[in-house]
Amino acid sequence: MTAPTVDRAAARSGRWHMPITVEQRAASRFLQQLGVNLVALVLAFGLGAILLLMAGDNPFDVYREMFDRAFGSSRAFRETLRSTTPLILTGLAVTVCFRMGLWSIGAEGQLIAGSVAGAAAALVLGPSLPAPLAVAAVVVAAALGGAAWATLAAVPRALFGTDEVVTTLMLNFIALGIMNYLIFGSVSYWRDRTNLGFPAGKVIPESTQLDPYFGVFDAGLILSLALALIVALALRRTVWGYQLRVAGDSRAAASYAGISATRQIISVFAVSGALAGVAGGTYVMSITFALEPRAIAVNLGFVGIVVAAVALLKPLLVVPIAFLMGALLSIAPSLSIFGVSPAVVIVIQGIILLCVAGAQFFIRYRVRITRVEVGSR
Amino acid sequence: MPQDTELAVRTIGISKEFFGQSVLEDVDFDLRWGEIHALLGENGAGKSTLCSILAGLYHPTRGEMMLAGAPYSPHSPHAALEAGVGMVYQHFRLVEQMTVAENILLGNPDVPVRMTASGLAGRAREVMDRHGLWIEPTKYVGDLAVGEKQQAEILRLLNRGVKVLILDEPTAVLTPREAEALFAALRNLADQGRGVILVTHKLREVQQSADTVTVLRSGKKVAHQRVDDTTTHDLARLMIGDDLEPGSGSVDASHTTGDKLLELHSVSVVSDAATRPELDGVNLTVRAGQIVGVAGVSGNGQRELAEVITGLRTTTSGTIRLRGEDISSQTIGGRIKKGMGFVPEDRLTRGLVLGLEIEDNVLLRSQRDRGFRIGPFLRLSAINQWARRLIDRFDIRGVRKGLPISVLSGGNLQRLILARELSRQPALLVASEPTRGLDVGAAEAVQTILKAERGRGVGILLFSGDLEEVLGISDEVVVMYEGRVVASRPASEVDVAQVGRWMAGLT
Repeated sequence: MTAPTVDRAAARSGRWHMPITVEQRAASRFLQQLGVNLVALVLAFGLGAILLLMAGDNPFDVYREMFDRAFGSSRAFRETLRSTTPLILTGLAVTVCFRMGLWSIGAEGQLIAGSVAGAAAALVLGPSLPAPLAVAAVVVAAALGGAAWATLAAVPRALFGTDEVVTTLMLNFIALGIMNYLIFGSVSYWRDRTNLGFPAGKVIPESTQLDPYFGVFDAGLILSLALALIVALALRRTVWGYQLRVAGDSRAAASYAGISATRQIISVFAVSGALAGVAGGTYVMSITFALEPRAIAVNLGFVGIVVAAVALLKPLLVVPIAFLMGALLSIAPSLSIFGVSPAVVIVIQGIILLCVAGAQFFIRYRVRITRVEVGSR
Repeated sequence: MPQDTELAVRTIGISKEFFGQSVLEDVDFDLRWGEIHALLGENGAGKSTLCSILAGLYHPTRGEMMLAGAPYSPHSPHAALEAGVGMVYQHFRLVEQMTVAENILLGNPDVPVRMTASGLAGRAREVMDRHGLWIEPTKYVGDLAVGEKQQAEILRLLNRGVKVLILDEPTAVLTPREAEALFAALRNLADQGRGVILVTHKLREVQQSADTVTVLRSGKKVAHQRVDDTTTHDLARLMIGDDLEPGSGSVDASHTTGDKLLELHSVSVVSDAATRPELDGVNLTVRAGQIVGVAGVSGNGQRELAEVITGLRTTTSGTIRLRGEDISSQTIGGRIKKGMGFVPEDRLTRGLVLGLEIEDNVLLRSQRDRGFRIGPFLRLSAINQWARRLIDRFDIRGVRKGLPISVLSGGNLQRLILARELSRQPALLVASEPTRGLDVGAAEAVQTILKAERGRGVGILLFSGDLEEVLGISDEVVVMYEGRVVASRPASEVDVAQVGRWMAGLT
């Protein structure tokens, strides 16, 4: 099934020729896809180097420093791992939706909803429950919060076909507004009323604070790894995952197979929202220890889109990619000490996304340089 | 109107091949100025291809074309339009969010960059007055009825100075009254000296509105006549061909004595009250061990009938019974469980999931089957074994582990769908165009499979645009026209000419 397209104008004129042929690949193997994407990553860092040169920095020094600050010491490595956890979860959340062709960009808002719900559960149940149960309660509450927030976009999408890109984006801002209101705009249950200075969230009880260092692995990371495995298995080995994959490939085939689009859309959104919600819950339990708007709304949901895209929407690949992105995120603040703007990290992330998006062309098409006789017709 | 010669368009020996398959063979076609010339033929006869070549969309593989006596070889639709040849496609090239005036004047190099709305409307009115067509120029195209949109499209082309106007199945989307208005407008354009080509498969339209008719069959020109010199019966025979044997298929009486499997009782589908119903009081019976073939020119309700039986579409009224049980309001899944197999017409987009592997594709429509799952979990090894069995039994070639099924050839893909649907041992199989696009060998293989299933007592409802196939393997032939069943006879009692007349809406 290859459909060659030759540059006709060039062939006709005879004088000018473009010796490049683009043909569609019948199918691409996984390793091929991975290879193309790795090349894209290298290219992205190369382009980033040009940018650093233009800014007057030595890219080799900057990259070495970045590497040291991400992996150079056990403390740095732990920081990287802590940034990895939420990115695995938001990456999974995005993966699940995108695999079905639902372009949800609402992981950010669902993460916030999960943080609010998780913090509430921690504050209410934390003092009375033993630690493992309290943590479980926070995780469940965060998942429900995220799922509920996602459902707000899912129901109109399923029933009326409302564009999910717009609704999920808008719901992100609403969630952020609500969280800001809870801490900065009102004396809510989440706000620390004993603190008369700058408004802050009430610190969650110790039973719900995850000991951040289980050796190197924090409990949130273990949970997120387990969820990556579960999502991978669910996609591959359950009826639900099968229906999701069919609907993602062809809506017409899904309806032919008797798959209810309404039910499938809502359940996929709910699962995606739950994953993003858990990201919020674990973030509160292991990093902020309170509903802290400025620490929580740091684009983890949006970076999840980059993670999912670079990971080719494969749940197990989300883990290493989240680790890479987590490293980039964790070093951003310390770069300024080194005299490089933290914005560099964001720019490099953007370049990575562009390179990977561009690389998809080479996965779908094969480009060959062919010899064309000059002047022949 | 410049009239350098009597002929507006002449094609000499035009041939067109797609991927080595011949679609048009050596077609000579003449269009005079001032005439409405009907291009008649069945689906796939090459009408649209010929027009697309004239309109610059395709390039002929061989042959030459003349426009007003001069050599003509447009390299793009834009170049064709510059030369004065414009085509009205079935899907209009209009911007719904713009007004009629904006659409008509869109892309016209004479219109200044800045122009007021009233200025535009005035220019549009001039165009309309000149051509005797009228649509309120300030209305948005999205708010227009289909017939009005079509007129806006024609006006847009006329405004670009089109001398030869090609219309591809223009009445397919129109109500009878809109169609009459269209023909009056076309007659007016022809009287002004333009050449009009009307692509159609409706004999009545040819008789009503055209001066000349060229008939294509399987890519070849079979006739070019003045309409006054022909009858609809002649045209029907020319269009469908008379070289087929009358129903030679299955006279074995044992095939028609099975129990009633599928019964449709006055089934109607009305999606839009303003147009004719998609299905209009259809009665139909399929018995066990019987192939019922549905003939008809495509677009006369066959697709809707298949969809309504299989559950992709809901009935407006009437009942559908499967083995005596009313299934009219059953879900697709419910109907599958009751023993309905379905080979859909769109095999690549609906019948298969091209991006997934063979295991996922044999599982399609069986994903809730107890044999393939334990609770919510799929039994991958059972599915895998099942896939391998079907590959063996139906001789599906080209499957590669770990690669999506898009690597398979058309014949193998169709066998895969059949294998899957038959593996469920259905009581009834609805097969839409099961051999379309297949080469002769692959088509025969599919027909053999269908006949074998009939021998095992499966009832088969076969939809096919290939009349030879319908008459060749069916026990009973049903003819559809404009959403109704106009005839239903044993295949042994009908001949091609008779079926052709029914298909054309004649009695």
